[in-house]
Amino acid sequence: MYHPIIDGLITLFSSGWAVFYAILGTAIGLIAGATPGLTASAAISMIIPLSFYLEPLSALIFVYTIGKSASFGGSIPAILFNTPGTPQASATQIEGYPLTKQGKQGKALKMAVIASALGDTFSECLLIFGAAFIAVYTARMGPPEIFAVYCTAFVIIGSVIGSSMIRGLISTLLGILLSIIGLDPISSMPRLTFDVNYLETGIGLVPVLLGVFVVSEIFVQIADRGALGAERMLSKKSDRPEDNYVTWLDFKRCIPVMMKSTGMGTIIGMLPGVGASAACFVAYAEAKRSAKPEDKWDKGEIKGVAAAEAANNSVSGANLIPLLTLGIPGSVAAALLGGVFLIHGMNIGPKIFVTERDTIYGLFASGLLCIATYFVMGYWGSGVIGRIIAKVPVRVIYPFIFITSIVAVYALRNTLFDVGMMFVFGFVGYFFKRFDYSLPAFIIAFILGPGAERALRQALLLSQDGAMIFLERPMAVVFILLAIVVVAVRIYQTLQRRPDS
Amino acid sequence: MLVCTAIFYAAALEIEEDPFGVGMEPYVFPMAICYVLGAITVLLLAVSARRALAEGLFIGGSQELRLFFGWVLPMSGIAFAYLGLINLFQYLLPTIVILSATLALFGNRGVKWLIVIPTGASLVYYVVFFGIFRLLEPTGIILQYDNFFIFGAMRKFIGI
Repeated sequence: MYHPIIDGLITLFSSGWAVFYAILGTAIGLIAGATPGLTASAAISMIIPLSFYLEPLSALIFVYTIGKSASFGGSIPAILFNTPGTPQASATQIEGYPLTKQGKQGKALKMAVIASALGDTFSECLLIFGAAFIAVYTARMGPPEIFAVYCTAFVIIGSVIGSSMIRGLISTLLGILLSIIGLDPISSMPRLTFDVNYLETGIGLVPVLLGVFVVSEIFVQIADRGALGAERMLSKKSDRPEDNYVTWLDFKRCIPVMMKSTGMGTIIGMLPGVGASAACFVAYAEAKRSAKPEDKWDKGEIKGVAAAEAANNSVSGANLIPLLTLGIPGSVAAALLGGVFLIHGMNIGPKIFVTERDTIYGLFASGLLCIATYFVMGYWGSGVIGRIIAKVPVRVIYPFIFITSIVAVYALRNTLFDVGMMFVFGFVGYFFKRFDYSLPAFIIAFILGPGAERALRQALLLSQDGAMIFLERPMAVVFILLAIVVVAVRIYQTLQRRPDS
Repeated sequence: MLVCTAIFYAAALEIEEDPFGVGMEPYVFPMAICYVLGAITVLLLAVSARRALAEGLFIGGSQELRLFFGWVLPMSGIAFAYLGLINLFQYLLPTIVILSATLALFGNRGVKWLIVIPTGASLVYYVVFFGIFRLLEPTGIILQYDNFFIFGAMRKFIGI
């Protein structure tokens, strides 16, 4: 039976460069994810300026595969050194590191890559076969519904990500406010530019990304200098061969856990802003809750590694569904991918399945290639990557990341103003991290802000009764009610928790 | 955050009206965001103050301040100094100096880490980005040079 993914596979494999960037992106993502402190967002932010020089499909593939494989890469240091490479690998270390201490790191790493690949494949298939189907319905939405969706996304992103709802909402609002600096989209009047000519075109996405993800991390690392000299020791491998690979019995025990976690991760991935970090803990907690008496939870249970990894990787495909069907990214990595779409002149939204069909399905096909590539690299190469990470000291990595980020941001427009903006946003990111504000909420809001304003203004132009238009459209009402319910639940949870804290 | 909101609010007050008056005025959306942001920030202040009073916590961030002034500020000083130096001496020399300073701040010591590696790495960056990717080098006020003669020959040699 014919499906556009066949065209996507043909598009992908007929371009040598696209395949090359898929494999290169996978390798970079794996290493970036495995390097503690260097997140997928930081790696993608440094790559985005380079993507300007690539043709659109290669640029999208490069960014997409980095985000995808970094999610698995984070499990390598989590298992080997008890230090998660990415936040979404935090649950993996709970059972993964005790296995390493028993000399079973080979088994843990191999189970991590198997669970990651299975979860990711399911999620990617859902994206391939389900996204266009959903897009048929979302394509019927007009500006009022789209604005209601934006509002709901802002409320969910602001109130769910992070520990404090108030700080999350502040981060979201600040992101929106900074995103509308520049010329007004309808009247072309300068807004919030403080008479700086450079700001009339708005604050560039790349200086903001590099500032908040890369420069701020350099500031954090320099502030935590005590940890820089910490040596990472590799534990000795067990001599028993069955401790170094996944036996059929191990795999059979983990199948139900992986299936359940994949389902959870996929559903969580489709929600805007919730992301892989939440998915891995939810899946881990559920796997532990349904434990059997013979399980060894907290002492190195392989099912814990499988649950966390299946869940966090099944987020990566699913969180493209809201991006491509609604224009709302499900995570920071999806938001950055959305930025690359915009850079190459492609409008994200349901119509993209018609206007950019080959590119979209080529991108999906690259996701499958990425999974196969990181499975091979991870199954046979995780130990080697771990040994390399153990040898390269953090005190050397960050100065080079600093210099690279400067030249990357300068490459964009050949202006030092962007470099200065990057440093300013480095400060912003540092204070956000230190005072528990939400960087993902800030970035997603920064990317979505102009679209939200455009939808609001278009809706009001269409309306005869001003803001009442949002209450006259049933789908808009549903989304607004959803936003109210989310805030109410979050406030209730906060009030419930207070007496204990 | 409150000061930041106030600055943006003041800037939003200066936004002019649309001369053609089509739909919503350009200042409405930024001002609405400022109002909500201001209100939530005041709420945060109130919640934080209440918690501080209840738990007997007052400003106790001396460790945070020490880290900021001891490490983060020098690092940002290096960053902004780099901007100034590039304007004076173009790309290569400031990059060697700044990479060396950053490596030193991160605790690296010795001739290898502070001279040899910064010089070698900066040359590699220079050739890759300004030679191969053809970025335009900012013109220096004190030291001015044209890299076309070096990189032109190099590009011809490698066929790009």
